Amino acid sequence: MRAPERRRDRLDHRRAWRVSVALLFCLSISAAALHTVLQGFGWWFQITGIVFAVLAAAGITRALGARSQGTRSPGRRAWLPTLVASAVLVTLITVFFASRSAFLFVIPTFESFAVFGDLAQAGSLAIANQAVPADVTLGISFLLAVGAGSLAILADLLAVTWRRPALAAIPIAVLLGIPTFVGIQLADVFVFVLSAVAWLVLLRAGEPFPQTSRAVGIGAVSVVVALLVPLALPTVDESTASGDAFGGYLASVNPVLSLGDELRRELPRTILTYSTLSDQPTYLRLVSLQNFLAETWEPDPPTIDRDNTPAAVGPPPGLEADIPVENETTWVDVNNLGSPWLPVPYPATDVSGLRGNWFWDADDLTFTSPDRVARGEEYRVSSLLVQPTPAQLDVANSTLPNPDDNYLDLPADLPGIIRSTAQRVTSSATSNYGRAVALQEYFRDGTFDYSETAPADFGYDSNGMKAIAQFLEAKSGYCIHFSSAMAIMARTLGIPSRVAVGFLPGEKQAETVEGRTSYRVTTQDVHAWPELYFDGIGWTRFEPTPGRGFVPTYADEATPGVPVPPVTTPTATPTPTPEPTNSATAAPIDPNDPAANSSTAAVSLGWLWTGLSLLGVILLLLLPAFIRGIQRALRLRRLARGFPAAQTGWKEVLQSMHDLGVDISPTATPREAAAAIADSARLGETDRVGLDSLRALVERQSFSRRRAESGLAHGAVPGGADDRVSDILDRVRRAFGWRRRIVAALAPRSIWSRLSLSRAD
Amino acid sequence: MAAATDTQLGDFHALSREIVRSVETVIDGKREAVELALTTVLAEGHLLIEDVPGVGKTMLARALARSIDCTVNRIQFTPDLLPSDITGVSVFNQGERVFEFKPGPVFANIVIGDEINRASPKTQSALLESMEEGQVSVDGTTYPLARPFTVVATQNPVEMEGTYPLPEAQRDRFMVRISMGYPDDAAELAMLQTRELSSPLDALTPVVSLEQLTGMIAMVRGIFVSQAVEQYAVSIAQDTRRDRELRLGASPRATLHLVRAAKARAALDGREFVLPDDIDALAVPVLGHRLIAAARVAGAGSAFQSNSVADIIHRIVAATPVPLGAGDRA
Repeated sequence: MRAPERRRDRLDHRRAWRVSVALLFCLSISAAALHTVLQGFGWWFQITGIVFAVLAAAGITRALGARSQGTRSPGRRAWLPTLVASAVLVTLITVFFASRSAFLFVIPTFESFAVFGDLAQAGSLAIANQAVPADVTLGISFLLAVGAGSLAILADLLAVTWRRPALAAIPIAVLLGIPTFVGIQLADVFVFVLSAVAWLVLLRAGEPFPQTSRAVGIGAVSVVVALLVPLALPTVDESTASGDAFGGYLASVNPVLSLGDELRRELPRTILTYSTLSDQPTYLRLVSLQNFLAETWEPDPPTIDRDNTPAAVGPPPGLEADIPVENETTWVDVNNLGSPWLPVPYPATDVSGLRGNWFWDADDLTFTSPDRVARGEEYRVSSLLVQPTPAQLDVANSTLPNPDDNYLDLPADLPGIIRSTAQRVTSSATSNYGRAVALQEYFRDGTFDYSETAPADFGYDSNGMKAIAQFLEAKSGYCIHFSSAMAIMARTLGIPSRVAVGFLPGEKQAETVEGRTSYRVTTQDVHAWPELYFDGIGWTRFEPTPGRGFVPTYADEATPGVPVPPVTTPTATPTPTPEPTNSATAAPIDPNDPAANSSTAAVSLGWLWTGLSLLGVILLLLLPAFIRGIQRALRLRRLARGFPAAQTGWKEVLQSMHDLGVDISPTATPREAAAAIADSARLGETDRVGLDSLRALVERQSFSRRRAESGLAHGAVPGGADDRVSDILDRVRRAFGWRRRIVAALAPRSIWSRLSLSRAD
Repeated sequence: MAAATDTQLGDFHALSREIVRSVETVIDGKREAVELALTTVLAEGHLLIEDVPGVGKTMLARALARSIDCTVNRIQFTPDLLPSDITGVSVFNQGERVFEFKPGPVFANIVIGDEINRASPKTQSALLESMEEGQVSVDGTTYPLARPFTVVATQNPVEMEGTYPLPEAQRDRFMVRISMGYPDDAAELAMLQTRELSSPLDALTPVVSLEQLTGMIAMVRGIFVSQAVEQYAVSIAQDTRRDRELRLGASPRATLHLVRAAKARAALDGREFVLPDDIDALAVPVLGHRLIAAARVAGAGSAFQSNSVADIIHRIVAATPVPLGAGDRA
């Protein structure tokens, strides 16, 4: 090896290291963009660690390979660092996530891959089930490790192996794009700017590498794409959040359908907090369902009466003056609820402090907004605590509030078990109130199990009449079954009923807010309960669900007239289900947790999942460019080996021209092709030298007697054949506009027309 | 035959430049025609120059012949020319009482046949047979012709008065057909000025000896033709036979001539191997006079057919893929 070559080698290595360090810098900075969607900081160290390990593995392999080889050959073993880095990534993931199943704790076995599959699934589930910012579960952590490691490998491949540091913008853009994809408001401009700076540093670090403006252009475009593509896709913002936004179940046509899903969430998320001066917490009601169709309960279609402003809420339907009431005031702060109904205690008499336009409904005193969801509202509600005496209840009849109302409607083919059970359970009661209490007691006396999973497992996870019939036999279900069953049974007994959907009182917090007791309501507190109508008293809440909520004093058969201590969070539920479904087992989360209380708008389910899909789409779109890049790299490597095949370089030149949109007849002779290239690229005399010498070599190799002697490396231009071909390509590309070059790089035509090209051979 | 060395190629190149330069002192501005003519001579082929009268066909032939130090004969073909006027006759020598062969004008290295299509077919055949076989048979005795032997024939376009068009079988024996075309303004002006004083032809002296010419021809034979290029030539020939616009395609002899001419062209270009580009460049001159366009194409009232035939050849050549020969195909 000659001295100048050795010097260039050293330079190459130093540069490669510099670029690697800059890559680590870039990727760790852009990974910080995820802080808007992930909780805590641990994940950042994890990502950075993985990226570091991968880049270091590639770099060390490169350095060792160069030393042991001792010859200048940028192309030779170009794939080795990538392979080693991939192996290191797999090993790391194995050690961290599946060491028990691995051979010697390090080498993944088939079982390990099964573990990986489970982890990936768990991760996607955790993503789907959480709102942002999400807790980093083991599954998410696994996905992060795999994703970050892969991006680091890609970045190393692009920036170091292919010597195009500018292209590292692609993995950077993917990282930056994830939060943007979840919601544009989650894009942290500061991180974007920092990443851009880091990228510029990377460009500087890789300076002696050929920084074709093409690569820089691609980098710039990637960043723009990372910003714009998520915007173009149907992202999940407030206007569309109702369908799948966390807490948004209540906005769907049938709010009940997804209620079970909410309850079965792995991790409870805070929906709202409220505080009150009362010593008793309150149920918060969103909506009432009064239309009992055979398959489900539905609310009335929302009708908005613009006169019904929160400033003057109408009187509770049916409540007469002689019923004792207490005035309650509740301050509600809704964090995270994509619902067009406002959570308020029933019956509310006044709501103040609302930002949006909310209107109440005279029949059920629910608050709806035509243009907003409840998320972000902070308001004060005045409400009544209706406390009829048992005597008043006992004498109360049950007639429809209005003759047209459908509170007694039942399908004609109602399963017999519902009616007969209702009759049997209430046979000893003498009044409608007595029957109602008997029904409630029937469900609460221990024969029924509270289970959020049993109905789903046995296929009756709905509140339609068939599901309720099954429920009455299986005696296992959760609030929607209990509330629906009681409401239907009440109707069979002639008591008008409806199902209210809302929240349990939630968990009492240690801290007080301005002297008021504070409660936190989470997804675990999503609830449904029946409301029965009694003349003169109005709509009255019952609580048939065992182990959930608390029974109103007026409806507590055991100790009539005696106030029942509020059971806000039952610590021991009589359910046999091992699921950590109740808030008792929920992770204690500080209500002042910045993440939980952050003003960051809640975004969608599956935010990271969609981010990963975006990554997949981007990678898929880049696949042709990737294949083309591999093809080019392989060819240049063969040339670097001194393989006497000028055709390899020639083919690369022709194909690059094809990518650039210059059609060279496949039947053209090398001379004709060279002339066409020089013509279309407007090459000057000096620019043509390389092209012509390559062309001459191609001719010599193809057609002369002495082709074996005429390797490309023997040409007049110093340097390896691969460098010469690269030089030709650079000179040719210069003649084309950046648009053509970007298109050529990102969407190489030759990939698609390969068939026709090979036919021309 | 051993491959030509670079030195030999250099000499070859220099000599050929000399010839071209020499001829060009007479025929100005017709570089392509001159080179094609030289190519034909070096490839041991026969040249057919076809054009309207007075554009310098004969001048080209004579200039070429003069530039080479070899025997040259000129035959002016007329309708009453007899075959023996070309080949020669056996005359009874009364003194020695034996028949003695008087060689005709065909016994020369370069034979210029002027207005070949004015002679009767019988006489034409006499020349063309000797062209092909390189020998003459008179009265049962065979006399070999000189080596190298090149016939440079000129003819007027077939539609001209008093012509007997060459049948295709005989056209096929000419390796290359060229047409001179009219000189451009400058060349014609220059001609006016020089021609008045003296015939430039008289000033020509041979620049190449016969021995040198033989050596050059030998070198052309040694030019390497790769299998790929041979395949390319065959593909083109095959395509002419299949083409629907052609009534008569290229003969195998045409393919042979094409490759031979390509070798000469490569040598003239200073290469020791033939490129597909040589084939491309020679396709029309070598194939043009042999192919016959189908009737519907031939119409168009063009004087030579060649316009349309040339177009067809161009099309075929453009559509034939160029094999890149051995080497990797990645």
